[in-house]
Amino acid sequence: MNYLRYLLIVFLSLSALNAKMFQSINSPENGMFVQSGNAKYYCQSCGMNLVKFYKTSHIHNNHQYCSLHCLYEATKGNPPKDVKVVDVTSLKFIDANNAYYVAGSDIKGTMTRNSKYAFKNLKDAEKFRKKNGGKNVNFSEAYAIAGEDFQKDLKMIQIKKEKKIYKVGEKLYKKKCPSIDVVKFNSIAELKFKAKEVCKVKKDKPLQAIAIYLWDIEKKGKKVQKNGSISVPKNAKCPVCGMFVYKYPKWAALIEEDGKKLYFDGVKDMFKYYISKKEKINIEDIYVTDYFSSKKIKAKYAYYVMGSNVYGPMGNELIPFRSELDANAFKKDHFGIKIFAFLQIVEDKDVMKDLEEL
Amino acid sequence: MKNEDIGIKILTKMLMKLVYKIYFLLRKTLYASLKIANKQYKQLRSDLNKNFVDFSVRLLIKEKKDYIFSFFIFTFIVFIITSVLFVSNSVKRDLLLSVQNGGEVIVKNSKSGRYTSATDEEMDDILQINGVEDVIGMVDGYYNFTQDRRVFHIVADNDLNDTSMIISDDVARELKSFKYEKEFNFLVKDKAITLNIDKILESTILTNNTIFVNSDNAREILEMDEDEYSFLNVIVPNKDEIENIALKIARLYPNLIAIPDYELKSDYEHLYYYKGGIFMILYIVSLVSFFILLKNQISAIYGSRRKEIAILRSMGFSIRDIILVKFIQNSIVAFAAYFAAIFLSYLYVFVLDAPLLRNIFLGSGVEDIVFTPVVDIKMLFLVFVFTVVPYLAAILIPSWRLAIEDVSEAMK
Repeated sequence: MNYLRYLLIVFLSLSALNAKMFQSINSPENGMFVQSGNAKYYCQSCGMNLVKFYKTSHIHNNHQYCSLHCLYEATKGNPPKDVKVVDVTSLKFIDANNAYYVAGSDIKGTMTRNSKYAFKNLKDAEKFRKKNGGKNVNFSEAYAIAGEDFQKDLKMIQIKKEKKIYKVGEKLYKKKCPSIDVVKFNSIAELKFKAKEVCKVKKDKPLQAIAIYLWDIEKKGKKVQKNGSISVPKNAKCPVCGMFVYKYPKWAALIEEDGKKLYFDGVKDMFKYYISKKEKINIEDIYVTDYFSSKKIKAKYAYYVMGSNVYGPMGNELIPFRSELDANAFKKDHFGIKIFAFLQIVEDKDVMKDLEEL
Repeated sequence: MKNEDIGIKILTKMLMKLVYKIYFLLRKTLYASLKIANKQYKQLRSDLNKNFVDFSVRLLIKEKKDYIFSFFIFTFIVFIITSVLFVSNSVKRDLLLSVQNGGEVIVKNSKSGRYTSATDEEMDDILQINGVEDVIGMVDGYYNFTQDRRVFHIVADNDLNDTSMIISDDVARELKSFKYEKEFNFLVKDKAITLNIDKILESTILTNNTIFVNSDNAREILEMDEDEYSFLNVIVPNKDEIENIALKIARLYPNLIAIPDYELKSDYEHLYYYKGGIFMILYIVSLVSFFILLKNQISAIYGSRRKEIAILRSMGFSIRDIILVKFIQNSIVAFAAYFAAIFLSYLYVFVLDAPLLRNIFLGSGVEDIVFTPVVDIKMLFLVFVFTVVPYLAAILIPSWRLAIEDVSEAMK
């Protein structure tokens, strides 16, 4: 029977276990931590655990950073002079300018896809490079590589934060912590130490999530989109084509006109309606449904992909996205032709005409 | 006016005429058939008076010897079919429930062709795919209870605190036989993890053989690292993107196995092979017993009842009345057997938990399982259509043939 077989396979699967992360050291005694105070074991810039990411850590101005990425962020792209880095072989700090870096090896890096590990001796670096690939560079080159990747890595980290960490952090904070006054803390490392003291959380990962949530959302006041989806009443008909909208919730669009709510079964119909009654409708009152997340977003800030192989209830559609990044990715996957912003569609009459002729 | 316009006008006029004609025809036939139906209904009303029904029932009670065998066979057939369907529907529903609570894509890692745990690395990369809202790492695995050569299913539940666990009824019984009544020690490398038994659940398909613990404890028991997961639930809000995302995951890491939830659902839908094996035997058994039933009933009518029908006819019963008497008697038997069988199979499956039958469906080692009561009205109606209706139809024909026989011929 199928599910018994499935259970057996799952059972067998759990006999294999993976090794620990390459960057970690077993206990704080094996490494060196120069920062003073409570937050000794946390990265000054991102709050990550330095024991866990010891082998990529750097020291600059008596601050210890978990990675070259964080050092780059802290020094704002100006190559610093007095930097110390961990020698992977001996685990001691050495002067970064005399260190031999191996960049882009198969071993995973910290906060980047392009890992950089430092060695005191050229021999060790060569050995590492032969085993794991990559190329030999010096500190300034490694710093430059970190600079090149910085925006990309930052974007990657940002997506991860928005999709997961803020959510997890908020949930844990509300469930397991007393309220923490975020104004008092100067760095995320201190905040994380405080969270460790007062919250009922022991592991590093959930602590990190709480710290990032508190630092980014509570302290810096960053806003996360928390929209629901457009809720369509059962009797709502599209004013343009007369179809029932509730059958196609992920295509729903909404215009609020004089306190009345008009629902459309697709962006195309919404635009037709809006273009015909442009003067009467406030642009702020138009909402569409984001294709990827099925959430309600403001039509004014959305990006629309035309000519893809995805069809709505009314055939060819302008498919709305929250960000240009999403729109680009969709365009690539689904053979889209062009991306438009809201005003482009309204002002250029050819867009709607082209859409009909596709 | 152009010629074309005139043509169109004539055409539409003709069309309209045709439509009216069809409409009137339909209305006429409808009224006529309604009239006939009404007449039939009135006739039936006058026939079906209290005395007539009373007479039929009395006759049935008098002839109960002929009907009791049919009743039992009928009950047996419906009982077997509905119990099997009750069990399979209940199992199916529970399994489908487990899919509904998971992600839209389930991702497992594999190494050398065997399943292994996924790590944070894969999780982070999947999270970067557009259209993925969230990736939830699940911890779930098997603990080897060496004292009795048994494995317990360990499932992580974050609502529990780190000193307690919830176990299923059959696990509780197993632990009790080893004198673990309030707590249990999980033996792992170099140490033992002691957890209190917080609550005992009844063991259904989903909870059978299962121990729910906090996810930190689960990792310790299963000897998994902090960044390891048994499988990943990928949340995809837009259903149209599921397939695309499953493909992307497989392209990202060839070792990852991404299964869309609808594939799992269809696997569970077709959990049992309805065209062969145990089901085929079941069909054959019920078909054969059904024919035995019909044979019994028809021979009863042709045999001793022949004279009776002739007497009724000579007393002034019409053909219609005789068919009606037989119809009333047999429908009472069929309906009574049908409902009795459903009642019995409900008791058998959901109160007694289907002894014997559950081993056929679930294999051994599921002695304590409890089936979640699921009654599918559609399925019961289908059983009704395939048993009661052909039975009644098959009875009416011989009754009619006897009723139209010459009375004097029958009395000989």
